[in-house]
Amino acid sequence: MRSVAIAEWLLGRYAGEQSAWSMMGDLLEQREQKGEWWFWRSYSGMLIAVAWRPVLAFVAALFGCAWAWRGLMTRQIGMVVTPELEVAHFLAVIGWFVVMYSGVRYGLRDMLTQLAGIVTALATTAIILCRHELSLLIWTGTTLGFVIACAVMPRTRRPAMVFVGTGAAFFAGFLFMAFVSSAYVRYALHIQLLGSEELRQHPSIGYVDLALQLIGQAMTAWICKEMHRMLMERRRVYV
Amino acid sequence: MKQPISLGEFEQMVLLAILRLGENAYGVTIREEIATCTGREPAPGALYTTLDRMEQKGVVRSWLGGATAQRGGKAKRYFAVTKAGRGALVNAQRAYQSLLKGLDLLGGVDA
Repeated sequence: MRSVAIAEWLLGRYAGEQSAWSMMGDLLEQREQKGEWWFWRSYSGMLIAVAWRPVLAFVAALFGCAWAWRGLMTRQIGMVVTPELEVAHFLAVIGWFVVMYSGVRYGLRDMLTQLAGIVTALATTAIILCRHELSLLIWTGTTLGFVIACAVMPRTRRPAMVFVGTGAAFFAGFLFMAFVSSAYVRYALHIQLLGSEELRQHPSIGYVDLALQLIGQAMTAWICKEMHRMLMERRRVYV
Repeated sequence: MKQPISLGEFEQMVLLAILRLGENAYGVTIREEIATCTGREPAPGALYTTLDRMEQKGVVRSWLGGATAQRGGKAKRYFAVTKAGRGALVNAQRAYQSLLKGLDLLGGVDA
């Protein structure tokens, strides 16, 4: 029964604990009649059916994130990299992660995708077009986007927006601190980008950096899921 | 204006099965009812994702029932069609009926 408990736990990560509980109950009810092979085959099918979208969304978001990171980095060549620019860069990269994740998981017409799209487009445009007074432009633009988004949505959904906006701000702060601390470590060791002699000598720094980024992205995916749940809960029709 | 709820073929089958089962509609019985009536056994994964999607659309609602030892002490999740779901199903069936009008598919030699 331990394997069933593990299987239920795994299913619960994607379908929700209550749904996974009853779904496993349905499979167990037919297990004696249909056999062990049927049970695990049906379980695998169920797991794939509920997990393929979140998994694909996460992979797509990682690619989107990496693409945005690289694309925006090349825009900064020849510029003095100020802390404001670092923050803007992070905001845009996180934004691209959210847009890709939400777009694949919930669709382009989903409210979360559209809201993230507005904010990300503003941050990205600001980085691409503006080389002066960047911080002012980005913060004004992002705030403007947020205010417009709040204004166009029904009053009942505004608390969800404020909640997620605050969460995202804290999250961006966390990522920024992680980046700054990792940069300090790098500069202290006089190492450059991946592939330098120093990094080859201290590969653990690269792993920590990668782990921090993956944790950050997993947290973003979780925030996306929670925001979508909050927005959808208010939209659901009860008759 | 509110958008009308559109239903796919499998969604209609699931709704009809739930209506036929009345108060005993949960995962196992819905699958069995569809298999009995159509000869096509739906995959459990497809059925549960469809039920979840329909619950999000507001065409079905669900609640947890009693647990039995046969199910490893896990509760059944029962389903019922909402008023909106019934309306959407009627609209979809009306569309089929009007498309069938004038055709002799069900009583003809090729049926």
